[in-house]
Amino acid sequence: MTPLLAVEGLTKRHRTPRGPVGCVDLSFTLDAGRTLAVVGPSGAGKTTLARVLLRLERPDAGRVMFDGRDWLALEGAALRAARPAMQAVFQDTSGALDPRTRVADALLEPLRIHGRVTEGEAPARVAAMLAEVGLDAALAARHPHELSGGQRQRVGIARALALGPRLLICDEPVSALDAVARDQVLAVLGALRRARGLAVLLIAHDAALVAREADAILALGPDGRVRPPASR
Amino acid sequence: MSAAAPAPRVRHADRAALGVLAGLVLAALLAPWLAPHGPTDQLDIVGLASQPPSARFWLGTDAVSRDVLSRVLHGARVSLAVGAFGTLVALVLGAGIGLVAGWSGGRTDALLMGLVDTGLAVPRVLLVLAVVAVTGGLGTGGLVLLLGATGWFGIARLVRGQVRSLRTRAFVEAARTMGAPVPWIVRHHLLPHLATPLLVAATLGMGQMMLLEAGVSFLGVGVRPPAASWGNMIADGRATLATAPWVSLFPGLAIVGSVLALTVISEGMRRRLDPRETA
Amino acid sequence: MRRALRAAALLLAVATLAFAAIHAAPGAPFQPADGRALDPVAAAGLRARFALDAPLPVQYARWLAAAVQGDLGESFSRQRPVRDVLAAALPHSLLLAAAALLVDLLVGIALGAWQAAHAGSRGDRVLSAFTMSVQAVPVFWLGLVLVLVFAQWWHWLPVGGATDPVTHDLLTAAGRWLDRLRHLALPALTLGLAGAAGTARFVRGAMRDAWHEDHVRTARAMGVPERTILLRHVLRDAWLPLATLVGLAIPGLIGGAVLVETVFSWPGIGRVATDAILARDHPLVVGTALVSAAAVVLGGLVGDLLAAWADPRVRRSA
Repeated sequence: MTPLLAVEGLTKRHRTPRGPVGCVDLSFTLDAGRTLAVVGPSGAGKTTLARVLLRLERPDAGRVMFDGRDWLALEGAALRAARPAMQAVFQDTSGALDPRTRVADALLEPLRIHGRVTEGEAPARVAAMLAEVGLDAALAARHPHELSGGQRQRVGIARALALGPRLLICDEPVSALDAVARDQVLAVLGALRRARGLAVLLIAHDAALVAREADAILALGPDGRVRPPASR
Repeated sequence: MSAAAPAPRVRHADRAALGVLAGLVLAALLAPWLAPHGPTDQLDIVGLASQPPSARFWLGTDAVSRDVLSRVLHGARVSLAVGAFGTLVALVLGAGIGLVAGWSGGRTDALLMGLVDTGLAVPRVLLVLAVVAVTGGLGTGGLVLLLGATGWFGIARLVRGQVRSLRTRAFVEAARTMGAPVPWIVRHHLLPHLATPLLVAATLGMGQMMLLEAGVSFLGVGVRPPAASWGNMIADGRATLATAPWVSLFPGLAIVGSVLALTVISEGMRRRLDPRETA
Repeated sequence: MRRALRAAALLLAVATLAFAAIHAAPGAPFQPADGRALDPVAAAGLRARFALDAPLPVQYARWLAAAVQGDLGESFSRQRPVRDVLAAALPHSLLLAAAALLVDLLVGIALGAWQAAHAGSRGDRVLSAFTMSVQAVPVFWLGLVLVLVFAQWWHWLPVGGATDPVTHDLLTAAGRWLDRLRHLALPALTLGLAGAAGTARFVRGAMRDAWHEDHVRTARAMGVPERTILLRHVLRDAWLPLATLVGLAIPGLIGGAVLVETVFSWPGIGRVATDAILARDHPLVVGTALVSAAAVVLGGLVGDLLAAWADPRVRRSA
């Protein structure tokens, strides 16, 4: 079986005042429905990897096959049409939601972009999406700053799942949250992942978290290269 | 600290400025009904020329016996309209070009910002004069376009800066990962954040636009007589400055009042946006 | 060095644009003012005399080659070399600009510094309202009001011109200086005061910012007298943005000069430019455009140099 995601020789370096950061010559595969954790110190290129996969940055070198396509070759309308298969949950729960947009509109945004919802059915869709992540339907009318961090992150997860992705990229999804909110978010994420058969690329620096959630671990060194797996 | 004391004063000034502006707009709209005479009516070129302000002619008459009050009221229509529509043109151009530069980055950005820097470095009066020289005179519509076309540089720079920072915000990147096309992002995530700073800049810019209109009309290349704009009225009165100064004085006061009102309103809005700045 | 190249490129661009724009213009030179058609033979003769019968690129190449050597062609309306017209007007413009800049900086810095030192006081608020009001005044109208008060009502100063047309040549050397100064006073005051309002607002802001810098706070905590702090620390911090301000003030000064020179019949570049535009005097328009662009570029350069001098950190990146 071909893997859902195959990364080959991916390199992307950024120059910073403290020297270059980013990932170097990264290769790995991820099968459908599996969870791969990416761990490593800051500057090792974890977030860079996520941004390259999400097509927010161009890599210096490397190939990415995703969902049977040459992912980095897609452009324009073809890329936009393909993006629903790979969605993201961000670390910064307040930054990821437009402060001027109400929760309902944030949740509907991906559906509206792709014309997948009519205004008549919108309220019901919002309620269903909120219920799926364990949030009260009354939150729909709130603005992001009126929500707790955990609530915002669950809205972010519901929004990321709206388009029915096959791969979810979670960049430090709980590192900005307190312990209680963290457990709630992880529980929601785990349940949805299993129910939908999602593949997850989980970026984290917390080894304990990773051990519980991941099927496999990709450890990056401070130089941005893959470290050989430590014996466990 | 002492922020509590000046605050009410500021609000008084803001309210006064809004009142002045509303009064001017009303006067402009109602000019045909408010004005005792037509703006180009020569009442009695022998007997009523250069009359000082009086109960009959509140602001006096000019050298060819036209009523200055009526001309100031009708001039308000031209001056305010040119200012407002010129600002609108500048706003559309500046926002559009700033968006393109800020979103594209790279060479496009460098090119457009080079253009902006050049445009900001050249005195606008000269730009306008140069275009008038090329086109050989403009109607009022053309003047509005020209004022707008030479007035967008600052707005473009403002928008470009905002877009550059908004572009890297997570919610904009999130929209990109959802597959949102650029126009969608502009409409839903950029313009709402740009609206308030643009409003502040446009209010201030409208004052500058009115000053510029007055300047080029004074030089004889803006709004053409016999149509009355405050700028060409001042030019009109120059010949009789020694004997009938009111002909130039009152339209000038009207300009000062409008521009000052716009400046105060703009400052008030900016202060409300930026609560750090109290003193 | 890179800046100098950019400046040259900007000048060339302005020259080319001005040349292209003027030649794309409808309407022709030599048009009699009363609207009669010009005798075709005479027109052809005039065109040949001013080399207007050659194709445009040829005209451009010739013009550019000549311009580099300082020859900007001959003014249609004044029937004199453009260079001579500009050379006659430039000293007047420089004199006015220098005097206005002096008024601008002296008044602006004095007001701004006083306001910064007394921030929040009644005087500060009154002055803030005053400077904001001055910025709302059309500069040419300010000029007319000053003429009205100082020349028409009180007869202290002349109405316009650079010198007295009748008596100037008859005066002694000292008398001529006084005559020039008296003619310079009102235009310089007009242009300078208009700029001073902006300068004062800027200086007040820059000094308030400097006031909150750490080393100023430290100096105050150590008991350094307020006056010393103001002069030694705050003004020096504010000097850097002020240097930039001088560069930025130049375009405003040139733009304002066009209007002020018209109000006061001051025989400078701005007046020449306006007249040339109204007379469709193409070579002269291009010439004034070049001089203005050069002034703007030089102003920016001077501002940068001042900034570099005030702050060694900028020197490398400049």
